[in-house]
Amino acid sequence: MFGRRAEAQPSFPLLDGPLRPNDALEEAEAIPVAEPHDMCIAADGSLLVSSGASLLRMNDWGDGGPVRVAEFGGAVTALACRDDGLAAVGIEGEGVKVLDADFAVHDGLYETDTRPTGTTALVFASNGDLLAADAGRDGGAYPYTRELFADSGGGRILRISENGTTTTVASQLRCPHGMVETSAGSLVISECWASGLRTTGPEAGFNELPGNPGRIHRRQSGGYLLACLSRRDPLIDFIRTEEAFAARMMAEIEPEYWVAPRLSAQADYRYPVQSGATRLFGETKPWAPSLSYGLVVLLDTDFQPGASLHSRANGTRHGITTAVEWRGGIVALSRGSGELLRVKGEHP
Amino acid sequence: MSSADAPQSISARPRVSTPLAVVSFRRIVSDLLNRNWIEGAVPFVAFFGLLAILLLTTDGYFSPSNLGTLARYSSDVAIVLLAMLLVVAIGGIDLSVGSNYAVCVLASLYLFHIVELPTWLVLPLSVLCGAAVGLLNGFLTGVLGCGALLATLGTMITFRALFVIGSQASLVEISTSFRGDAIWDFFGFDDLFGVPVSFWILAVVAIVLHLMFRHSRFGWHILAVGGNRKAARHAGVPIKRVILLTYVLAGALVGLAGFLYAARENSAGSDTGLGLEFFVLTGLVVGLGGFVPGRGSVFNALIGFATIYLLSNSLRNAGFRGDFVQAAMGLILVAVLALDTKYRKERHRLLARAYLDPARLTLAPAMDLADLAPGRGANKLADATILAGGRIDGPEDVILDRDDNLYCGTRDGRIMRLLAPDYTRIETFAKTGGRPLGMAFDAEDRLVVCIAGMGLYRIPGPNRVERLASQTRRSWTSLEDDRAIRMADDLDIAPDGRIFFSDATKRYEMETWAVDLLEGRPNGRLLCHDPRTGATTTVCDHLHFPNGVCVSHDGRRLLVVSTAQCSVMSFDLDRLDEGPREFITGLPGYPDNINRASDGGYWIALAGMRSPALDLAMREPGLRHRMAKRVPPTNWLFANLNIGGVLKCSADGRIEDSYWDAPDGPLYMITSMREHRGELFLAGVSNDKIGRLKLPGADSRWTSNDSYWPR
Repeated sequence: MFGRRAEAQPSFPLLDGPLRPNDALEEAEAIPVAEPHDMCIAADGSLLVSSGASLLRMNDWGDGGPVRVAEFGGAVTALACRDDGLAAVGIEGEGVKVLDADFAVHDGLYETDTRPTGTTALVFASNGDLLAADAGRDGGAYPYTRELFADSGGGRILRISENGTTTTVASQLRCPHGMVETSAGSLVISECWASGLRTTGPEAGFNELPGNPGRIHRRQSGGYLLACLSRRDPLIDFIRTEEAFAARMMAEIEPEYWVAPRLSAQADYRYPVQSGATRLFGETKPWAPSLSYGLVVLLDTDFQPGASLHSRANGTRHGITTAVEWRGGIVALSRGSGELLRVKGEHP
Repeated sequence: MSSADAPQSISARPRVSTPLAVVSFRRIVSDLLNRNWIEGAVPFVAFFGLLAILLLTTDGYFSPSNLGTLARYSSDVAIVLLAMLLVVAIGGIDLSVGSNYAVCVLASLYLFHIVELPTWLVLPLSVLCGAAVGLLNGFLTGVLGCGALLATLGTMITFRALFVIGSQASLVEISTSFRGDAIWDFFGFDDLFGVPVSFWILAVVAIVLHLMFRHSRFGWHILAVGGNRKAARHAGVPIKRVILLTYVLAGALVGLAGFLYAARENSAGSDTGLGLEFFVLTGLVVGLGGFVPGRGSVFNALIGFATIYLLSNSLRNAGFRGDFVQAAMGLILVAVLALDTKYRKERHRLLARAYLDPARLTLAPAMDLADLAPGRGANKLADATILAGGRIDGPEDVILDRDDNLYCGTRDGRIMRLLAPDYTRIETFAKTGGRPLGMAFDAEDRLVVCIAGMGLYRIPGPNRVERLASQTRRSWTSLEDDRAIRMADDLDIAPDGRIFFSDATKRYEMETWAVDLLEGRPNGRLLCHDPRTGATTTVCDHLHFPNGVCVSHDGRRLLVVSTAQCSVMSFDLDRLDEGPREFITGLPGYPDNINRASDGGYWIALAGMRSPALDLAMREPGLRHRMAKRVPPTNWLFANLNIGGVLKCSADGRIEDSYWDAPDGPLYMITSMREHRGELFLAGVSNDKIGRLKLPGADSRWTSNDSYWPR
């Protein structure tokens, strides 16, 4: 009668310590980019950014904005550059294409029969192989939210050699969204809907993340930059345990109105709202619960968080998919606001 | 919906069904846990259970002669128990009752048999003797501030020793005395109407104590000191005197009990009153369901006593050893105390777990607003000027008087007046002490206000607050006492002066109204106050968060908003018994107040918007219950209160127009609006400003005041 059952959800780390909220992303310089997905630093040091079905290039930050250099038949969902000028792009509905230094499609390299269903990240390994993260489901307008509630079991990492030999490095992943090769040669994979990092080597994984991790890139200092698409939310975590309700929601409601993480802070009046998010005197509280959030975590060489950059509930720079170090600053891509952000200064 | 003959078509619309009662297991549990008598119910159950066992296992236990014997032998012990109740109620304890009792027995016997005083002198002297011991106890604990446990332990040992010395000196002489006296024997052996005299005395003492605790200043002081000594001192209770007097009174009762014993037994032994304090404490703890200071439940205590007395008596009758009976009593004492402590600690948790009781609520599909949806057309509210920005906290409703001054309530309980014409001067019109919500002017231009947490009030002038209603009749289907008006929300006044107002929820407060919305049960009601008779009645119970109330332009119908059902209902003022009919269903948001518009239609404030996900969750009570348990309240799926607006509907309920602010605009949660001389004034309960919007094409002379009470 008086028994206390442990009914609380498994907790996840609070935004505190190195993850303590700040307004770094909100105060960052910005360049608008329509529908950005991914970016990478080319061999010549310029920055390649995907924008819808286009590929843009920018030589330096104050260089008059990015210039379009290529156009494809579908949205570019992932990008990777090789040291010799070769680039790989993941194109929605078309799989992976390889571009030469002039951004022309280069056939005959990395051609594989095992086409990823939804390419979320591409990385060139140190031995020259191309690693591709496959979410196992096509993205569409609401990327992979269906995967959040109904695991297709199709999340995997493919290793494609130059001659097209393809092996599966890891499978059964919950929406892999980024990976990086460590100096020891093992692979660390960010699993978006598992809110954690998984490794193929002996390194300790950073398994409890307060966000849904996206792409992960190495820093010059040896640490890593982890972009988070959204923040973990107790309500969403709860709905994920409510399988019947989640199934009904997916069957009866348009994906736009699901209780699910979002990339953009923009709100339609029919979007679900959490009770703590109600405005007071017209102001959105920065600490209010929100389904979208902007977060970049700076990890050390052991993948432990050392610092973070935020755009909070009252901000707009949400849905950070990629963050890289470029020309003395951290450049992040906000899908929510459609902007390229640059945070200058020294970071631990 | 559209028809030339609007009123007739409305009275032919489908009925809204309102349940006669809310039946739910969880609610019964939580209502029971909420009742004060539930703790007292446990000893009653134990008592009657014991009676049943005795009835089944023992022959003739309840024969009149045995009952008479039991009553005769138990009465004086029961009086000692009531004395213990007194000191426990004041937050103390008296271990010396047994010794005191023995001393008084000896004193009575000595005075009667040796001094040979008349009985009518022996009785008061015995009472005085007990009172003197009580005075010592009271002086030690109340005046000197010694701990009651140790102080009375000291007096217990002292008086026990004195009793032993005294009895050794005089007991032989007493036992050889053959003095008899009719009055003495009357107390000891006689019956009155078939019941022993001592039992009558017990009954009188019990009733007097009960009345003292319930109705006398002294009794209340005792409970106040026992409940919270510090608070009682702050409230001006003379603590020391009350404690002293309580111990004296308790001692006097022990003296009375000692006299009764002496009259009955005519002798004393070395074990007289030995262990008595333990026995009455056990009875008290069983009766009160624990060791609880600050409670003077005389009858509960007596029930506990009866249980313990019958139990020990029947165990002895059944041939168990006295030591065994003692052990059983001790175990019962410990068990009750342990259970009670646990229960007290966990009760609020049990209550919290059972209180929120979600039900399935299927809303009519949200109407398609098409071009009237937020973000589709121009953001008309963006043109509004902002009044009193940052200077008022939470105006739920706005109203204007005939001189164009504007009134609104605030979160800290004030009614503010914004002076015409520019509304920059703001003054406090009245302080209410509650949370003022809906407002209306009556025929004499007096402001009538619904105040959440208080009821219906009238404010005829600055700083004059008059209560009209704070209670209605109790509904016979509710276990919970629902007389109090918990969240008076909005009102309107019919042409005959009757005031109709909504009590949005009977189960939650202003701070937790959101939980009521999440519960999705018909917890609200529509009430009517008739100023001519002063009576307040329930017009319609079991509505889903009834909110805005508006008398139709023709004065024949009453429009009542249901926030939780996203609908507007219509009552026929001449046939209120018929119940509500649908007026508007399937609103796209959560409607709040409804008021008259100059063109014969109505304004409906939308406090927030519906989301398909929440609509689905409202059909899944289990999901909401689990969510309430597992998810922090700040993360509960809830109505979107960040976008709200105003809908304009025609006289027959067709939505004709909508007004929204920009997504990040200042007028986001509209809870009320009032049209006045071609302008619309807008208020929001979580906002700190009032909007003022010019209405193109509206009658610039029309005021709500003239519409209701033409001059």
